[in-house]
Amino acid sequence: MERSPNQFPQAAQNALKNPTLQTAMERGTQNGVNSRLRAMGELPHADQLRQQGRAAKQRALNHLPDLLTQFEAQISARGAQVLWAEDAAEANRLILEIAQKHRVKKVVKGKSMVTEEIGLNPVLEGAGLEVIETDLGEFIVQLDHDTPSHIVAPIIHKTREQVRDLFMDRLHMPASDDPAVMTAHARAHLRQEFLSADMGITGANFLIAETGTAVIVTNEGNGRMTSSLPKVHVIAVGIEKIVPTLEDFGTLLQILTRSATGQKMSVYTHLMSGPASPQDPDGPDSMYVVLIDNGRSRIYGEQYAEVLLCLRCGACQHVCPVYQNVGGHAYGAVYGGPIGSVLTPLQQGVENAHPLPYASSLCGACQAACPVIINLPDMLLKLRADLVSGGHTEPIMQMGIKAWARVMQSPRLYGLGGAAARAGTRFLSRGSETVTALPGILGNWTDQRDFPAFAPKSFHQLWREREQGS
Amino acid sequence: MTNPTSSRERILSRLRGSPAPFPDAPNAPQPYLSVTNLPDTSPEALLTRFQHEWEALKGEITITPTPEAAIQTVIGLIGEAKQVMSWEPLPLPGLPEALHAQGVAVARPTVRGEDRSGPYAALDPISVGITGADGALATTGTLILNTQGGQGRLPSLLPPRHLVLLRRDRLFTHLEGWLAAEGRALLEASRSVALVSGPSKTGDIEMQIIYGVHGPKIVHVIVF
Repeated sequence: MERSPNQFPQAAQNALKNPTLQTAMERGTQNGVNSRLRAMGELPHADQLRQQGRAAKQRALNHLPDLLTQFEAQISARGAQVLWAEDAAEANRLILEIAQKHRVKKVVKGKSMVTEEIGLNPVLEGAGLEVIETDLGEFIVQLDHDTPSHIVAPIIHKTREQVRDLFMDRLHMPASDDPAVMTAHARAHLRQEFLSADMGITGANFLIAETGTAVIVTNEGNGRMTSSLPKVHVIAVGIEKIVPTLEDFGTLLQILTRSATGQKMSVYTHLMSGPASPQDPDGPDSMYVVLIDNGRSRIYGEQYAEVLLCLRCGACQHVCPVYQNVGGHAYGAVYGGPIGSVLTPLQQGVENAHPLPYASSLCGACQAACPVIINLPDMLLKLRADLVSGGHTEPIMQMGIKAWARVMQSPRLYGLGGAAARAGTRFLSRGSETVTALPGILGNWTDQRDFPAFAPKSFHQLWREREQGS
Repeated sequence: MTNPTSSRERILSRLRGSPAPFPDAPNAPQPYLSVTNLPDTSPEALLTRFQHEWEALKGEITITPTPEAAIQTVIGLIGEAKQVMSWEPLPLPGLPEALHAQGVAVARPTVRGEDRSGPYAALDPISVGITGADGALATTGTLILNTQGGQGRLPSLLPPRHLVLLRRDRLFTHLEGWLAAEGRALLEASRSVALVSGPSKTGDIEMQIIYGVHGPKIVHVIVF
């Protein structure tokens, strides 16, 4: 199914009526919320650590161009080749050229959101390469011709029963809905791919400028295998992943893992400072780092630079009451949830994602969960303001606001309007305190929620009666 | 490969053309707060905490009194396996001879260059890998695997069982402490350092934790 951010209202409606999705989201998001609360809650100085991490990322962005060239110089001195891509098309072309130069036939991939963002797989496959996702969740997504719906839990929208059916159909697995059996089956299948791949592609969670080290964090070990077994390793990474020093890295790594999955550390933190040296018995002979801009340097200069602080932990997705109910696919873009509702309009143009800044109750749970305290509610409000000032609002909304402004400026119209609303809602509520169905266009409100009936007497009436009574 | 320096220059000039986005950002703290803390950093307390964290991660651990006892522990853990792959040299003198006496063949894999699938396929059936560890972090239950020179990545990556020889004087309090003491120098010297916190696992299917996805399902630390 083709997904688009502008179809959010309909996609959200469909998601709410999908019982399988609702089951999966309930099982997944509560678990994510609880594990983060446990891991961050056990730290008495959690808020100070978040401030420390936020400041580290802020300093990283303040010095971004110098830190990027510092990283480049350090890792290049050890034999890695650093390439720069302005947009998705250039990044894809560079990676394809690397594959062709090394006569690559089979590519294994570690989980990488930035390669989802640039749409890498179809480009490589279109050139005749075999591309295999090796993170269990991403492998399931690829097998099902689906897309990931969460930054760290890509198949949070799927139930175990759906995975069972997929594996029975596509991998000839004997019937079982035990995740252990399904995982063992996937392991055996993917092991053969690892052993025969010519090139590995991973993302990176951090680039440490001081030492010229790229860091990838995984739990399954697929990241370490992808970066160690094939003769060529390509790291595709957004330019905002840079951190200045090892001290900053030490803080950020641990608030990332605690916020993402509730772990003190992920199982594998792989620190890579270049291709294998001539003395090393194994590891990649060639390493490439593709630094991807794709809109980031533009956002950098705007009022939304704050979004570039994001560590991609997914905590804001788990806690968001909208995300919890509609899932990640409804957002129609690579990044769903609160962070996606900011990033997608910035990357694709606000007119191409106009429902997303409104896909939030502005409850603030996202900012409260964010390890670097990104002010997502504020950015959502600013994007709404951009939509209004750019004229990207429904005509009926504009008419309504104009009419409301007119009424509010006239005591006579205000009084008449109040009397009409009072009479109308008292009638429609049939004696109760709520209206469940407003007529005409106003029904758009009561489709989703009740409307309170107006009080029997207005404040002005009560005031007049009080004056007369005294 | 065409590496258009123009893209590099355009990206950098856009970034340099914008004012620093966070003029009020605080300076780097002195000192940094550590994420985890351990009031008692005596060798005994470090080992106790490491063991606690490691077992919580479903890692296995045997603390042995002497190097000789460590060798016997390794021999016992290998069990019926007739072939292992390992680092060269191992940090436990006498272990290769003891393995040889048990009739256990020790592979020291070297796989570099173009054609790797054949050598990998030959190594894949080996069920046990033996390595040392450069150290361990107590508060997070983390092993430091510096792979360079004769210390390859494969023995800690391919076999489903990984035996790790850890000297008891190589325990650090936490990540921050290790980075400050040795991490900086190690990252300058080594192309690949893996911090390993327990056996391989996934929670992708309904967040139910399953061990042994791609990396080893059993990671057994032998402290000596």
